[in-house]
Amino acid sequence: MGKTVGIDLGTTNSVIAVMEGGKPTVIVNTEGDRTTPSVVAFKDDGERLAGKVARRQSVLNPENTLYSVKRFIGRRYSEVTDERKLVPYLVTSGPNDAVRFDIRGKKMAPEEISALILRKLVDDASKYLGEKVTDAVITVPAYFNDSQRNATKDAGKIAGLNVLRIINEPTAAALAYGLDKKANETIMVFDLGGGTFDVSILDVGDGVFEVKSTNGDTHLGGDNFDKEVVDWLADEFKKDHGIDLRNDKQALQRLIEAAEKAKMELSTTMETQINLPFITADANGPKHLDTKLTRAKFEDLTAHLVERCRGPVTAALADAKLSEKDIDEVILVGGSTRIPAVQKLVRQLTGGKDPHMGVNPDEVVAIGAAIQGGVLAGEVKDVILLDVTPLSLGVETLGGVMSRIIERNTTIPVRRSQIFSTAEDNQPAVDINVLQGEREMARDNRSLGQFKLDGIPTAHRGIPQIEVTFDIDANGILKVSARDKGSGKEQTITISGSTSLNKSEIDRMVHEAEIHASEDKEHKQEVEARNEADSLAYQVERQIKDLGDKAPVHEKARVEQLLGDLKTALKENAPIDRIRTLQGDLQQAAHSLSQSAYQQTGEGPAGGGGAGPQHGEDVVDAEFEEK
Amino acid sequence: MSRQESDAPQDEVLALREELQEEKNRHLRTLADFDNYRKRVERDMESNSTRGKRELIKELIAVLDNFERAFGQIKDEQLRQGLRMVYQQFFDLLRRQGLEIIESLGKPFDPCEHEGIGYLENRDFLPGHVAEELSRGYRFGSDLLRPARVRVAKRPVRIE
Repeated sequence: MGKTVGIDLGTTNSVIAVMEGGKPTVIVNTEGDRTTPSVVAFKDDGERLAGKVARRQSVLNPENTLYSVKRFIGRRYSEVTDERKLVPYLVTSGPNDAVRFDIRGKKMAPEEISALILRKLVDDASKYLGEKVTDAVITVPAYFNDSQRNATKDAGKIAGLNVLRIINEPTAAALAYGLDKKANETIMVFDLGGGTFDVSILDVGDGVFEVKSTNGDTHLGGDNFDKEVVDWLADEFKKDHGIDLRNDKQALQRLIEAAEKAKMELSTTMETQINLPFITADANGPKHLDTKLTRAKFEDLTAHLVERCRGPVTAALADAKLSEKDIDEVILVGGSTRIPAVQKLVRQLTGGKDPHMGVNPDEVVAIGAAIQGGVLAGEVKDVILLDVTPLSLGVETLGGVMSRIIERNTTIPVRRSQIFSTAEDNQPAVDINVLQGEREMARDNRSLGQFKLDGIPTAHRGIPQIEVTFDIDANGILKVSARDKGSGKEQTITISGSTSLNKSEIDRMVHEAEIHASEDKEHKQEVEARNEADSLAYQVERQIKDLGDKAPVHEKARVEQLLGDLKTALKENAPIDRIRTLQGDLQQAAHSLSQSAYQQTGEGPAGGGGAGPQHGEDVVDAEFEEK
Repeated sequence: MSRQESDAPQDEVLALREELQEEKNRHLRTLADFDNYRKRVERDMESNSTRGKRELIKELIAVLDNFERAFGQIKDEQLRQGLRMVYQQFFDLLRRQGLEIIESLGKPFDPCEHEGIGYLENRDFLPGHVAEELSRGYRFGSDLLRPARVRVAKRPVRIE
């Protein structure tokens, strides 16, 4: 069996999504876009085009380029007298008063046109997924009647799809937010798209959605907002320069593009610069359009459009016999709901409720359809909810640093190991302190448990390899083990409930880590610098011992002097700058010491052998402190 | 031994077998999903850096347009020449990064690369071929950045 997809077959644009690894994903079409224009064209040589390509030739071929077909699907010819006057292609009637399009003398049903859009979406999806798409869930507006629903289903069949179900767009949006799990709630879905506005009120209980009422405005959307900005720009320009840019096709095109861009920017900023150099010219030379549009001005220009949303919402509430306070959840759908004034109106009409808007409003319907598809195909049925570790886990290492082994938000089950070593010569045991949290220093994190691995054979520091393994199973039970690779000795601790922190506790810990991030980092770097200096002191000490008589006396004395200074500084917790200076000096002195020692004997430094502990490639440069 | 007792383990085996089958299915499905996902991520990885470049160049096309508009409107020859040199420098830089101009004039109209914004009555070009380019189209490798906006040739209507 092939993949099941969810399709939002829109009036102006369509979106297709699929469940992948238990998560809904929007599929990118061959043009690289996440939405596909719902446009189909027939060329004079009989070739059919769908999507963006069809739209690009629509001006040249208006009679054979079909868009907004959704306004006709499943309807009678006598019902669409207004709609058919708005389109440049020929709408006629077929058997039983059905709507037909006359394309180059051939009669075609809206279902056939929609099928071509579906085919384009599905073909691109198959290419993207690398496997055949056979089954689909398709969405329709909640107000669609049986005939419109059946026609949509037929479009799917014509496209060669097995249509598992036709679901309502608002229901799909609610599914995308997981609202099917709510017991007895009332949901308002506010959908302001490119060219249509729909508001629906749903009841949910036991995973079943019931549409209580719907309302809307079939000709209100983002394009209206753009037009207001275009007119304002053109009017202002005319006032200043006496030229109406709307009469110049090229200039108008630039205005439309700039207006849409400005509108989108004003959703996140308070003002935007509109800059169109050389927009036109007169006898005095070139003219430029350079103006600022504030959000306040934009809201002023479009207030009447936002206001047009009010009536349908009030009517939908009245039809459902509800008041604003009865609404439990509000969902925003459609790109135009990104406009702050629209959001403000929605809040105002729903008793100040914060609407759901985490899922991209252009994609939320397709995503919900994909989820429904997953459920029907049995993919989502009792999904194993893949859990994540809410906080990082690790162990305490030299200097009280937390060494992370599993980062936060890692999907479980998971198993990770790291190799550590000892901090002192002949250290017989290591203490494993299992930590949880996001802070850099061990003491700021939560200790989940401690244990000791002893019986480590005598060795110089840094030589033993102690493998620490963190293993979290699917139930969130953490098992930490430490194993000395030399002796094979092993100790284990099992900690249950490492993932069972409540949400506020996790948020607090993550938040604290963010606040302290920079000071923690500084502190950690300091500890690391001290550890490094300590390690150098140790190496140099051994070097002197190994060189024995070979070391020139006065150089050796200087190294010993510096070594003593560094060790004292470390012991006395001297400022880090002093330690760094001493460390640098010692490193240089030790280096020249070994050089002159080998020059005396004629041996290369490589032949010296055994100077300092050899850190293996996989040995992490952090060591357990002996306690 | 009563019948009930002997049936119980039998039922359990059946139930477990079914459960095992279900789990096996789910496991395979996840593996397949993951494998496909991995393949796609690999594929996407190759294009990630080019995608970043492409998006930037796409934004810069607007600047190229404005240069061209300036040439058409600035009368001062010296200023125009200087501007042309700046433009050339800028354009060469983008071309080295992979920007290509779509040649449209005289080519058959192709909506994969051209956006038709009208007809032009014209005898110099074959009908259905591009007779005028209003703004340039650009390609980045095999990706279309912006179609050329064109007018298409049409036979003049003869007035008898």
